[in-house]
Parts: sequence; C-alpha cells; structure tokens
Amino acid sequence: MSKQISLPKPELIEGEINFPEMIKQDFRKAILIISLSMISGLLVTGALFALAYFI
Amino acid sequence: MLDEILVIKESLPIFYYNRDPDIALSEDWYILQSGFFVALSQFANEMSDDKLKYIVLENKLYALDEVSDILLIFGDKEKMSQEVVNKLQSNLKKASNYLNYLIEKHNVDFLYASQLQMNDLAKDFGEYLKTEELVEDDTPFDPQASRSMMQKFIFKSIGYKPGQCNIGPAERMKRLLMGMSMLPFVIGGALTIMFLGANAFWMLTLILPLIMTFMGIYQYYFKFCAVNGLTKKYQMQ
Repeated sequence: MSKQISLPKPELIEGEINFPEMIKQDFRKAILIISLSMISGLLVTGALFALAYFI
Repeated sequence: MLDEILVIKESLPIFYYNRDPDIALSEDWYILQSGFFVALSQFANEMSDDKLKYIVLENKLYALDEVSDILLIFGDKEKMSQEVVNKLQSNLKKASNYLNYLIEKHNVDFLYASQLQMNDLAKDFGEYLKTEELVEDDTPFDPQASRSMMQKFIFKSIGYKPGQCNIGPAERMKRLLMGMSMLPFVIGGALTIMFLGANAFWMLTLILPLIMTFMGIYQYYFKFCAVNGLTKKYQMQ
C-alpha cells in the first residue's frame, strides 16, 4: 500500500470527451473565447485605423 | 491530483496510483486506487489469493461485478485513512470468505456453471451483503454508468472541468507563446504603416494577427483551448 511503484507514462492525460453535457459546455466556452478574440481584434484594429487615419 | 495512471483497456482491470497530499505521509506514500471489472469467480479467486484489485473513489471502495449484476460499494464517510482502508479491506475479506462458502454450498463449478446457478449464487451473495450492511447500494450494475463514473473520476483527477478548463499548464503556455509570437508582426506592421505614411486602410490587414494574439492570451487566461472545445478534446499536460 505504501510503496512507490514505477508506472508507465499516463495515458489519459489527453483524449476525447463523449459526454453530451460536457461537449455542450466546452462548445459554449470555445465560442465565447473566439467571440472575445474577434471583438478584441476588431476593436484594436479599429483603434489603429483611427490613429493612422486622423494623424 | 493524479500523479500517475495506468489503464489496461482490453481486459478492463484499471489501476490508479494516486498520491493525495492530504493523506501523504511521505514522498513514498501512495494510496493505491485500483479498479477491477471481473466475473464473480475471479472475485473469489483473486480474494483467496490476496490478489484482489479494487477501486477507491472519493472515500468509497467499489467492487464491480458483471456476472452478478451487483455493484458493491464499501463506503465510509470519513476521510480516507489507513484505518478506513483497513476496515474496507476487512469488509472485502469478510465478503469474499462468504462468497467462497456460497460457492461450496451451491457446488458451483465455474467452468460448467449454468446461468441459473450463477443467478442463485449472486442472489444469495447480494442478500448476505445487504444483511451484513457491507454494501450501501445494491442497484443493478450498469456497465455504461460505471464507465461514465470512472471517466468522470479520471476527468476530475487530471483537472479537466467541462466549460472551464481543458488544457494543462504546458498547453496553456504553448498557446500563450503562439499568441505572443504574433505581437511583433502587429507592432512592426503598425509602426511601418505609421512611419511610411501609408494609407490607413493598410491597418486593417493587422486584424488577423491581432485576433490570433488575443486568442492566445484568452486561451491562456481561461485555461481553455477553443479548438479542443470545438473538437471535443482535452489535453491536460
């Protein structure tokens, strides 16, 4: 019980998800991140454009 | 925090070795969290040979039996400690001894046992477990539900949280670096356009590297990979 055992490399550190509720939650978060990135990108690009346009 | 995990997929014995900081007595102290999905006959044989593998999930010890359709849960609400483990092992031993007795009583030869004999054996064994209060739950064993339970336990152990975290520290850093590597293009491009006095509309070409930069930053911040989220994957390295 208390002895250390040498084991192969972990196998389940990465993989696929097959639970619909988890897939749905992940999907929402992915869309949120993509949307945030798009909005931030658009805002900064707009700011740079305005800067170049008016100066 | 799951340190190491070994899964033998085909034969379905599942072993977890988990060093829990709350119960770790030293660096060498591992709580053996091992699982098994075996037939009733193997349950008895393994127990009699002191080779039984079991699974400990959240302070409960699960023994899953596919033949008898009985999910054995030897539970304790206390924090898992050596005493609790000893108690669980003692309960398992007790159950195993009775099972061996039942096998002799029913004169079951596992090589030639009929389904009827196995059912009788499983029924008697289940009743004994309930009478002795060795199990908390005797609902019929549902392999699908058990696999789900196991999978969710693994998710919890490695830190995957649906909708919250699907990448580990190494993957987070990779995404941050990928995002930040786009930043020099943005800064260089913007400065070039400004100093050359080029048409302001050229600034719009920077939108793509900017979105990629923000993607990297947000993925790092949220501990979440958008591509993994869309492709139903997780990477907890």
